[in-house]
Amino acid sequence: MGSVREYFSNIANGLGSTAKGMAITLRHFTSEPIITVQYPKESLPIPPTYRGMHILEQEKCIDCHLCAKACPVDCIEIESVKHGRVLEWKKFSIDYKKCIFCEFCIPPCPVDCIHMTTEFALATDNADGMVEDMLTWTGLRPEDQAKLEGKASPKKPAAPAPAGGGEGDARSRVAAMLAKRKKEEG
Amino acid sequence: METLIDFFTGTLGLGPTLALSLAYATAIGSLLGFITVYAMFAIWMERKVAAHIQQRFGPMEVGGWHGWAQSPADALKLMFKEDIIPSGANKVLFWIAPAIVFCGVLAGFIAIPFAAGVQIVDIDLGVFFIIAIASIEVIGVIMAGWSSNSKYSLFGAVREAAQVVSYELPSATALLAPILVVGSFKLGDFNTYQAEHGWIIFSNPFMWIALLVYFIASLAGCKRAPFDLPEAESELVSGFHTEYSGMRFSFFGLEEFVSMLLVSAITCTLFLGGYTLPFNFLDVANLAAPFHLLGVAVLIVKIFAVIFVQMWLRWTLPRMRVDQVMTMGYKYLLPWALFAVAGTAVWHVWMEG
Amino acid sequence: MEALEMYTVDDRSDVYTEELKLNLGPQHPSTHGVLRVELSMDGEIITASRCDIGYLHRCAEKIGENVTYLQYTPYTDRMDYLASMNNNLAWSLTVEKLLGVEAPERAQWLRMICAELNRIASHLIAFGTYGIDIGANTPFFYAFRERESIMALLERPSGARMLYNYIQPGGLRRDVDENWVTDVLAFCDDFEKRWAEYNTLLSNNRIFIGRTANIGVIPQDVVYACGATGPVMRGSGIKWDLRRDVPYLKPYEEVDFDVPVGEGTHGTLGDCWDRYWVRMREMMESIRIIRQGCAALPGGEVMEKVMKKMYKTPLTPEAGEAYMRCENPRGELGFYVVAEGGTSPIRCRARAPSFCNLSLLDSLLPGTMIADAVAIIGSLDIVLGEVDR
Repeated sequence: MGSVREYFSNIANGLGSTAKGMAITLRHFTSEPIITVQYPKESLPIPPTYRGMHILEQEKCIDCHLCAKACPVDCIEIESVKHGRVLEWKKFSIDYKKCIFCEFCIPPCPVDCIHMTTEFALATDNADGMVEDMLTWTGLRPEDQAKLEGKASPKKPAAPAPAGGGEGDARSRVAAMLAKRKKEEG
Repeated sequence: METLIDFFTGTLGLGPTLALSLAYATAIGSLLGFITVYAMFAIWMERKVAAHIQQRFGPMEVGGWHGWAQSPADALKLMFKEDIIPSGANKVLFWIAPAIVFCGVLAGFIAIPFAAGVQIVDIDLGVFFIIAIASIEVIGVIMAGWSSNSKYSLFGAVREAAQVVSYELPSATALLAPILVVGSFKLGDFNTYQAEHGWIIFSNPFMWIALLVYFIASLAGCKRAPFDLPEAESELVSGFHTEYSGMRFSFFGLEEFVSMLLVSAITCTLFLGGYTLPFNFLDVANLAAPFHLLGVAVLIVKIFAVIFVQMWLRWTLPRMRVDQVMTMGYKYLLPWALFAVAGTAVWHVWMEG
Repeated sequence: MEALEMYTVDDRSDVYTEELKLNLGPQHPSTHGVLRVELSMDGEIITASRCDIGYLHRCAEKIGENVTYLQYTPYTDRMDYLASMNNNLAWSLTVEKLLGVEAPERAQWLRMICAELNRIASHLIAFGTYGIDIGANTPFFYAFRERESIMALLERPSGARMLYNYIQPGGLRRDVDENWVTDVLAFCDDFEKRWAEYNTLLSNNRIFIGRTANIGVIPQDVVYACGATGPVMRGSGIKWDLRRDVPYLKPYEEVDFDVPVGEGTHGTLGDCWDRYWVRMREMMESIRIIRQGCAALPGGEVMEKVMKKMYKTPLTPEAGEAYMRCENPRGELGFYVVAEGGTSPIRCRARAPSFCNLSLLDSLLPGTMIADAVAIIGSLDIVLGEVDR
């Protein structure tokens, strides 16, 4: 089917459009800059609004559980004992197997103590390791303990929470991030 | 070849039979070595060309400088991979198919003149020997596709059979045009002719059509885009080698690149002056003894130019459909190939009286 | 390379042998997810097809009945994950309709700009993956290059690159930063140049036209019968666009834009190329809308004051029902919600455009070749996350 004219226009069109396309790819080959980055070595800038892994400012936290209630997937677990106004921390963990990074835990907080960082590299080969402990310390703070028991700090301050796995894991990086941020603030 | 035999008989004083065997073994061994190194480089080059066309880096890590060791590393990995044979596969055919595919293409190289005297055998019907022997590949592909016991593989194999057999016609016909000009099927004669008379591509305007037709048909012969129907990643999920893994799989990958080398070598030898330089300003063929090997470098540069165009085209064009491939072969390429042959014949009768 | 004369099933010759069943998917590079199409083949030609969906079913609608109105927003992100912003918009508008509130003006304009940016991003994926389906790999990377710019732009206010959760009932999660509008306009300028490049590289390529023209022709009555919407409907020449005909955001009434429809440029009206070309032109219309939106962007709040408390105490709309539909990149996305006064709806239902568009597939495939099947699936531009929900 098709006339002679169509036959020749097909050839012209086919060769012409191929040549035009090849001109574009050649231009990209020779003159357009490379836009990808070599990821682990360098990475693209992440805006400060990014919804990454959480950090908890434990000194501020008043154990109101609003963040846990706001969570659509119930990934925040909080456990603590209240001695009057003094808090004894048992657990504040976020299960990153469930977390969908929706940021709904951030706005309800009345004391603005939970934040999201730009940390996104959470991949691990250990599913149990995905439940991250947000606490910097467990139990009572030393001064609270002193207040509660009515005597001067008897022993060393409570040991800081075990810092995740190795040096490179997300937990310790977020901890380092938090420490740096504290230093900058005051 | 004669130099090698002379070396073994003369310098080392071996008997003629032993010398002959040793000479061929040396020649074929170095050819295999060259092809292996070439295939590694070509795979790396393909990835780099694709990457830079797409504004990416491509492999950058393995080996340091621009990931040069990526291909050897991949080859090593494939060697250690499990060789899986699907249940229900015809084991014997499944085993030998990659070997047949690879041998078919490899055998073509014995007739390619890389430089003056650097040619294993200068067969009288060299051009058609290569076309014929390279077609054995299609048998291997059909064996692979059929024995895999996978419907996708079968589709790929049948497509390959239809496509390669159809495109033999235009490619062989297009090659008749330079053969008419030179008046010989011997590949060595093409080089000597072009050293004297200039590149065949400039001999008459019809030769450009012949070159274009042969180039397109040879793309189909190597299953390169836009004719990569037998593999058709997005339709047939790699087609005939879907079920292969490990070394056997890598043979199919190598085969593609090696057959690119083969058709590019034919293109360069028959149309683009072989190992001679443009306008023969330096007669590489007749240089003093070791320097005539410069021809190898000249040919390789030309071959890589052609291979680059093949890669460039692959990363530009979409894939055709089966019936369009057939239409293209029979309605477009074949008539134009015949036209080029007829035109060449008339031109040379006209011009040369 | 001329157009394929359509094979008909009755056209079998004597050498017809036996039928071959071929499973296209659920793990196949061209089914855009986990779609399974069971094909009966006569050689390369498809004689019958049966679409099998549900591999990505995640009970999204049932979840909606168990979480609060606000908490459902991130779940809508995960339906059509390539156009999260538009899904958020549809859900937010539904909840707002139920509550009887309206977002502030600035929020409405920003919603429009973000939704149009996301539409471009989504169409870029459609364009890029369509190229891959047809066998051209390079356009995909060029499309992702521009999509990356859009993601970087949307990441700044929303904080995420794909599942934005930015448009929320009552307005927006937060305001954009001061340079954002300038950067959006800079992107628009850049994109126009790139768009021309796409057309030279792919849209006008002879092989591409040969592969898509006259393939998968959808007549207008089939469009109506199957409830297909979006570019699939417009590709068949039906000029219907909710943004123009039922403006669900005020700014859509004020901005000036065209609704591209298929014209049968390279063959029959309603073929794959027409659908593809509608998408390509829609990107340019979106650029027009974004330009006008950026110029007319008013100041003010981005979240209704009364709504801000929803983060602490869940929204409790009065008993009633609401249906709201939006023009998503893939067609009309509608949410139907029935409230009974509690914190979560008692019925939550999504009318997914991809699902309705996919229902055309079984009628399109018979008589085409396996390569055409890939082209047709690609031209419907389905997202399985939305088909299965």
